[in-house]
Amino acid sequence: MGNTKHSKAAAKYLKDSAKVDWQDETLWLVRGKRDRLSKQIPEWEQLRDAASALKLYSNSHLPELLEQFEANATANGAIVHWAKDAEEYRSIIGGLLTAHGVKHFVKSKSMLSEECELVPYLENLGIEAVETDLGERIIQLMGLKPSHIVLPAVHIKRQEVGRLFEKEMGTEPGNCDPTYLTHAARRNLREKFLGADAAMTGANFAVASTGEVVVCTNEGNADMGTSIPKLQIAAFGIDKIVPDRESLGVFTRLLARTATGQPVTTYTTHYSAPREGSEFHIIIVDNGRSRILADREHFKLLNCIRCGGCMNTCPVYRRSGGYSYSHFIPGPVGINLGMESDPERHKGNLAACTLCHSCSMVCPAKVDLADQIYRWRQQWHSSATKKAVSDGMSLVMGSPWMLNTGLSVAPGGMKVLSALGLDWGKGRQMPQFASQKSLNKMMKEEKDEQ
Amino acid sequence: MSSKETIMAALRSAGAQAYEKPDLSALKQGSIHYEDKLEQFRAAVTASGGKVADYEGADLETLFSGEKDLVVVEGVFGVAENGCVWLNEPVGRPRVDYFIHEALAIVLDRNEIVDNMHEAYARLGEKNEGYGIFISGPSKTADIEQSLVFGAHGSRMVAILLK
Repeated sequence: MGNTKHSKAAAKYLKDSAKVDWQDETLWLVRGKRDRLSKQIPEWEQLRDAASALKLYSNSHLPELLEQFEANATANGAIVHWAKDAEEYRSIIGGLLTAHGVKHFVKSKSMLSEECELVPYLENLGIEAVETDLGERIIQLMGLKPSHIVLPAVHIKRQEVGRLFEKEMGTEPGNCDPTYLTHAARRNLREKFLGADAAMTGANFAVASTGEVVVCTNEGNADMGTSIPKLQIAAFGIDKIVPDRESLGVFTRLLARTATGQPVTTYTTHYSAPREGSEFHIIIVDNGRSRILADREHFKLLNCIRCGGCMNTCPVYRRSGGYSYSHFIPGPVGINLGMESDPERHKGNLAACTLCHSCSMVCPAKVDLADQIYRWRQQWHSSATKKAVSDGMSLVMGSPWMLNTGLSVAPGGMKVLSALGLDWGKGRQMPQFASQKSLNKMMKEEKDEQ
Repeated sequence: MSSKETIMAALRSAGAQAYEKPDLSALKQGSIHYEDKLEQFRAAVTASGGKVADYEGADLETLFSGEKDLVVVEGVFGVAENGCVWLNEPVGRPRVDYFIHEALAIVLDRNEIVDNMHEAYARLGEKNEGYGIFISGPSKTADIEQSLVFGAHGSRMVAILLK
């Protein structure tokens, strides 16, 4: 009953159980690092409150903050463009590159460019568009899409990278040492950086008070890219606006600690004026974000700073992988973003949630991720997914016999999930209960004793 | 209607509840401070894979294990909580010098260290000089099986030289 697209894809993913375990442990390790780092900051929860309040402020004052950003960026010497949708974003970039005679183009990681499907568009124009983040480059050379927004190649084994680089970069056959492979990519991509006619980045933050764009990376690929060619482009969604540098103090303390468990990224670069002798173009993109703002139940989604923390902690993401989701952003935030972009197409992802709320607890900008998923389930009355999930839940919850049996015949609980068609329950160990009795049974016994 | 007008109109008609700008002064005052900022800064740089040495008598050859491709630049101030250093647009050299060499040495006044990022941005103020960057240790990646490797694209080695 009720197999959703996500659960079918997850069932396929779960066939390689060794890889599933490895992936699960890898992501949990990142979550663990986040926990250690956040506990070193006594004011961590106040920081999250501040980030949430700042985003609610900026997203509810976008017209004036965007005007302010544009005025300051223009005064800095940048050229500001506006794109209402993905098509306009692509054509602005395509137009700029064509006008400048660009043949070789380097870009750093930008989920907006994935959202707007930039690279295939540029390739059709005959422009070589090279992803320069190592993980993105691996994915691009493999002809795949990122499976995680911060760790795009987190599902790829070193042996696969070794074979890929042997073919693409002439590395030693059989050598899959990460240091050796990373340095081979360093040399290979150096040539791309030095030969690039233009470079592009996304933005982690766009600061209204200064008109600057802030880009955070560990590799330095954005910095290498933008420091050489005569044309630099930065494109960001309107939700990247922050009011001022004072608020950057809050966000830069949260971003890397939550994303990868580091106190800060290696490079936090502030771009405002064009480099001497070059042009700096900034593209401000809506592409559906103003629609999210108008959605009373889900506008808080715009608080998201794309750290990926909700993926690392999500028990369903960790055990079903990024490709099981139909939206290009997976995990808890991706479930919600998918529903905003095309509910009919992405409703199957709604089943990929246990409502454990771990994502909401980890989110540095306090997006109410799990509650939003719950509300989507409530709203989506007519869909088959809603029916499958709610039928399944009411079947179990509504039947004391089935609930009690499901719990008391541990590890049968997960079998209940499987029976509901939620296949990510497969292969999971049911935790040992402290008591072999169900709560109902215990309460009943207590009552009898009284 | 221009695209800007279309976007602005959509935002205005979204009818979003207007939230007030939060007052961050309590957070900033109550944020982490260190008794010995320099010691914390050293620890944070080291944890990020960088080195800290005295500028006086610094032996770059030893510091960078014999690497000859190196550059020495000026940092403005450091941040104790995470070991990053603020650098302005370089003078008399291309911006790429911050990234393209195998080894990067940043000279920093040991008295110019702030506790945390709130203080860092308060110090920078709301004016910008066209370009600026926080650098914390060497370029790194963990994109292959989460194994940490230094020298993805930027400098493979970074040392802070304290004046």
